[in-house]
Amino acid sequence: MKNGFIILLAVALVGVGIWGYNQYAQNEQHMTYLDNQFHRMFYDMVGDVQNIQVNLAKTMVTGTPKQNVLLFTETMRLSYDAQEKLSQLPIEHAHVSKTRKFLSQVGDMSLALARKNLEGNPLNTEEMSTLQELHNYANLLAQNLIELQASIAKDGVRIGELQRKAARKLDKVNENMVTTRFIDMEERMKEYPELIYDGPFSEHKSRRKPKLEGKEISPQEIKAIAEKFAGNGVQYKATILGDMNNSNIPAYVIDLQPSNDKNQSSLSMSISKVGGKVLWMLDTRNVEKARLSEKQGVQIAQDFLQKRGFPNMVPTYSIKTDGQMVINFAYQQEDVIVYPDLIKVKVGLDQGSVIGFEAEGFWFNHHERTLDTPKITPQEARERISVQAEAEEPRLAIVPTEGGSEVLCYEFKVNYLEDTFLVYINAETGEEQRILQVIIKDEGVLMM
Amino acid sequence: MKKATKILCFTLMITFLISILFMDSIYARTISWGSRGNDVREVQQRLRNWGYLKGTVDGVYGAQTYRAVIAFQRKHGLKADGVIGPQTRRALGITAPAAAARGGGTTAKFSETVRIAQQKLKQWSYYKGAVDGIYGPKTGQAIRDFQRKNGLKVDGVIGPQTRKALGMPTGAQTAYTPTSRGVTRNDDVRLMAMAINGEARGEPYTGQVAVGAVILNRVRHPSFPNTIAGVIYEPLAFTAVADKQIYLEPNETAYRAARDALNGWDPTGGAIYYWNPATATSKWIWTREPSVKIGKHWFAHR
Repeated sequence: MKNGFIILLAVALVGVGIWGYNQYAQNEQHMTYLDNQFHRMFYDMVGDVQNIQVNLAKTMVTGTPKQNVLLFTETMRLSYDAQEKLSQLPIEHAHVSKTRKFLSQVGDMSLALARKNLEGNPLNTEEMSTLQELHNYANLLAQNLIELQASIAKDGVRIGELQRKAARKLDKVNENMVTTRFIDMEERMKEYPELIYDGPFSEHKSRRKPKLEGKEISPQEIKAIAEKFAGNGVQYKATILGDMNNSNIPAYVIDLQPSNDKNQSSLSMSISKVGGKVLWMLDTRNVEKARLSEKQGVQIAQDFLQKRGFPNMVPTYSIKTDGQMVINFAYQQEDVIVYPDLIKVKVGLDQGSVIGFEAEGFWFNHHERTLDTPKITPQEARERISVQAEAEEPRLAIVPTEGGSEVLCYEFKVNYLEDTFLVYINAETGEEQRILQVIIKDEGVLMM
Repeated sequence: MKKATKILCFTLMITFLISILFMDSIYARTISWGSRGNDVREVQQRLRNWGYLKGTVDGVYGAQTYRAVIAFQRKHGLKADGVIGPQTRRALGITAPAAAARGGGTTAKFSETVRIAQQKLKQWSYYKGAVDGIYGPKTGQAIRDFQRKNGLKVDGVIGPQTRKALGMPTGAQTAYTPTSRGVTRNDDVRLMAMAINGEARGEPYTGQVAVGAVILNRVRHPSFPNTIAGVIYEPLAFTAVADKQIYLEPNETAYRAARDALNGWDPTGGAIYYWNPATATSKWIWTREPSVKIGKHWFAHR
């Protein structure tokens, strides 16, 4: 009996031992796998940065647009790739945020310049000198990364250690080296120039000033503006959640709790400091099953806009999920659809009330534009579209470019077999400005 | 007496003016079912360009053309009678004298093949003239240039080789699967809902939308990855990802908040950081300047 117990215990111990070893082996395998992945990413990234630097150097000497386009597209691919790899390495954001920004801006700038070259415009001296500066920073980055790589290879520091630092107190010096090297780079990166180009992440986009005009409102006026906008006769208790100066449009964010009627839901709203305009509104109430049709929904949204002082808004797209429907409206000036001046209205199809409003884009961009007469005819624009596609009659639209400027285009709804596209042909130059594919799902409706 | 002459002169002048204005309509013939000729061709061409006519441009007014004309007239608020009179002509953008001249039977012959070839050649800047479907000297030169550049026999004829090199439709269609079957936004909605649920469960609704908005602001920001998954799964970025809370089944509110964020509601006005002051462990995050506080979370723009 006693022996039997000991045997059982021994068997259990061996069993636990085997299990434990397997766990250890598996853990080790996972760690190695992760380390290998990180190593691969790190090496690839270093390779990318080196090639970026070489490509940027080459653009200094090439003269033909074709060669430039090839170099820029290659550089774009490399920088996005390096940025992506860097963001997957377990290094804290604070240490590499500037480096990453640098990489994606090189990518954006390359794309913008490739496009410029494709359109037949040469680079100007300003762009050339920016390229040169970027080259110098790529060079600095490459140097640092190569040093780091060498020390990793020599001392065998696994990048995965960074992640494990809490669990195992590994060699602190080496660990710090990795982080400090990146911090060091970070600080030098701070000096790099602000780029001025026509790209999606351009700094000047966030530095662009909103078109909103008017006098500054005081915090005391907020409650009245909010209640008037809600327009349901409910008295609210307003709390200021935020006083934002760094946001796209400086604004107050407020929370509105109904003060008497407990059946009413609470609202959140944002009101611009300049002009006291409502930038967005969200009603927090729960939405039940839809009782109204989508057509009624659009009508409710349109009436709402009319009453809040937004005439000339035309619906362009709507999407319905469960009991709620979001409708996009664009501003219409004469016959031209102005896409940058966008307002979204959310309607609860259960009670038929407006439960959301979003007009930050509208207030950021809206102004009366001087509309140029198109230089090319609809016929000429049609000739730019593939002969295999069927195009419907176009309408004129102002569309935003990646860099935040605006162009007048002919908007064509084009069918190719079972697919639908929106093709935008620049009404002045006849260039194909943009092609959007319309994915028609059950719940989304394109209104044209 | 003098007055009567004056009135007569005036009336005559008005009549004269009106007749000048309507000269177009007097000289262009009315096209209806059964008409044939180059003017029918021109009408068909226009209708085809704007996607009303699906059939071929053959210069014969048949059933297909009739349907296309009716559809066009309806869309333009004209009388839908299938008769191409002056008003329909004007809406189609056809200037009557030109049509009449062409209908008058000159040697220039319209050809659909030539028109498509001209359009292609113009797109690739071999051809500078008008895309009118009439083979003139400019068209011939453009085709020869194209043939020379593409290593084809330089004869100025739009034969099978040239058509193929130009990428002109040959009639033989390969099977095409609509893109919409291979694209969905639901995966984005779900991933966002998971992140919102993991990070901001129990927060006020606006706070949940705000967390979703920060994720999207990061996608657009150069210092962060460029995809939703990239931002959410970024190492050391979100605690809910590190401790696997993200894999909890998101509730209905999280889905709603995710959709609002994806539809463009941003309660933070562009913030890229947020933290819970009660639990934040990073020292660095405290160097950020909070601009809005919703529920337990503080949000910052830089």
